[in-house]
Amino acid sequence: MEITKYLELMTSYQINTTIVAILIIAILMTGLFLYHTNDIKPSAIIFLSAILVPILTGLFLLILYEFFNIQPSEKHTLILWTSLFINTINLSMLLERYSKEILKKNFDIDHVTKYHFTATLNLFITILLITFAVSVFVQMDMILILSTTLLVSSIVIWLNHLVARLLLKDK
Amino acid sequence: MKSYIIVILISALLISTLFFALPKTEVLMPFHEQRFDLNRKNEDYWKEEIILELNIEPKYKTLLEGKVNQAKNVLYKRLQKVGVEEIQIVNYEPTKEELENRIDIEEEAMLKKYLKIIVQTTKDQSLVNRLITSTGNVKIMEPKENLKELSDEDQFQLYMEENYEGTKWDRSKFRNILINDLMAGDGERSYFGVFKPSLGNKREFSKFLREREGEEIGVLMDSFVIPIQVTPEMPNLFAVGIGPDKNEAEVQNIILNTGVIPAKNISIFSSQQKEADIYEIDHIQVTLTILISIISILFFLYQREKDEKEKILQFAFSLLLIFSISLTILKIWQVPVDLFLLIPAGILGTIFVKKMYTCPTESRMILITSVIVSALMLIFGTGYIPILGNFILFIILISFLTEILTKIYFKHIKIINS
Repeated sequence: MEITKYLELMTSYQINTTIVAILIIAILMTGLFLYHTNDIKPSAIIFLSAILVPILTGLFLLILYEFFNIQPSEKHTLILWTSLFINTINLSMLLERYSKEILKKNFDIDHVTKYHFTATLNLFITILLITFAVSVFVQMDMILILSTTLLVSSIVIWLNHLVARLLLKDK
Repeated sequence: MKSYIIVILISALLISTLFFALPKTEVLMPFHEQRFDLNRKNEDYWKEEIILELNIEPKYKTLLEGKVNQAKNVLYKRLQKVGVEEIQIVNYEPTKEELENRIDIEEEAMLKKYLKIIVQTTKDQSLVNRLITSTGNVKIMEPKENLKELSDEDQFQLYMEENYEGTKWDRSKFRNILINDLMAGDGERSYFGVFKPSLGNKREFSKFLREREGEEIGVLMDSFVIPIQVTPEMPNLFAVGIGPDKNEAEVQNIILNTGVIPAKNISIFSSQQKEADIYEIDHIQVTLTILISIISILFFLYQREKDEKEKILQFAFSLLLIFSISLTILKIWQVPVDLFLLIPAGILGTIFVKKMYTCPTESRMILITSVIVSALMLIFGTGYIPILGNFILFIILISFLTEILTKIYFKHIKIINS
């Protein structure tokens, strides 16, 4: 797979602005988490989670371009931003619940992980249902954008949950 | 009584906006001459493949690749600033045949580089062509000795670059060129480009102008020279007239302030119209499926969270209000929309509102981060992303209004029932 072939389709300005925007989101979420929880380990995971979205999007797009003969298009940037939005909402829920829970006297990390599981499941079912319903009536190119977005966001939000559960269980 | 009036008013708002928002309802309108359907951008799209020829000065031979990349970035920034939806700029090597067919007017040895630009947009075609063929360089020039005689014979000689000599003052010596509307000599307001020298050059530029007080100089913009007489005020405020047209001022602002393309001149080598690549969406079917999926989500939520029934009902009511008000606004104001963008906007809008209602304790953080991501879409997004960011911010804004209305509605329903 030749990544450079696809990178050449973008100008360095386009690549740089996207990197800056992703870094702003990643740093902002990490900063908010660190400020509210004072816990470095999960904060670092939040940063990695935000960075994972463009990596996964790039990987899936590369697979589509290489193996399914799909032509690169500016419309595919929708996958990245829609997934970033969904991931940010998922992380916000974890952050707010965790920061509220650690202030309580009877702090129980299970409350956070159980709540985040329900929230993630709800979010997953929402995007799954809407994507499937809409996909029935749109053309193949749009289905491609919607299903890749569903795939990227689902992987990231479930990874958020799994990593948060693993990291927070010994608190 | 008050509760009844409020409930009736909010219900009327919901029913009327829903009527406007639903597809095909415009055919039921009593005034048929008025368009109420969504103003789709589909028909306005055009797509063109343009090969640009950059004539780069031989002194940049060792830096050629960097200069071409710089040109690509400046072109991309310009097209993005006017809101071109799809842009692709790549290096291009013309075939021998293409080069043979070209009628070359070669004045001096130049390094030729080619760029292939594919644009798909609804913006004005001549505007796009102008943005990609202008170098954006500005030079302050001094007239040659024979200019007066030449201009007496032919007025156009005053505007020709070859009748002027360059000075060291070009675009790189200025921080920016601020486009402002100022009072012109005839008392009318007109647009001017105010040249702001970079800090280290300010004093020297004032000195340059003071030395030429009362004399004529020229400002080279877009391959034409604008002759200017240096007045005593100019060392403090050097402004060049652009004209009274606002659109022209905006175009000049983009060309002059997005960077300089490092080429002596740019020309269109070839261009080819292409068929626009548009995602056709049947918005009637999509609206119905989104409605069905939202009902399924509500059913799922209703089953899972039995003790939060009122919250779920509020969410459903609010969501219906948001979508009907948003679509009504789009229809009444005839806002041009890309139909396929309504799908991700609808999905993200639904997720946002659902979380605001079902996770009230986290709503503050969800709101902050959603607004930030949408704002980043507007600022840093390329192509369709700023349009999507706008849609989401619009939905967030409407959701504030609908949240208030929903709370009032449910409060008064309770009063009526009690």
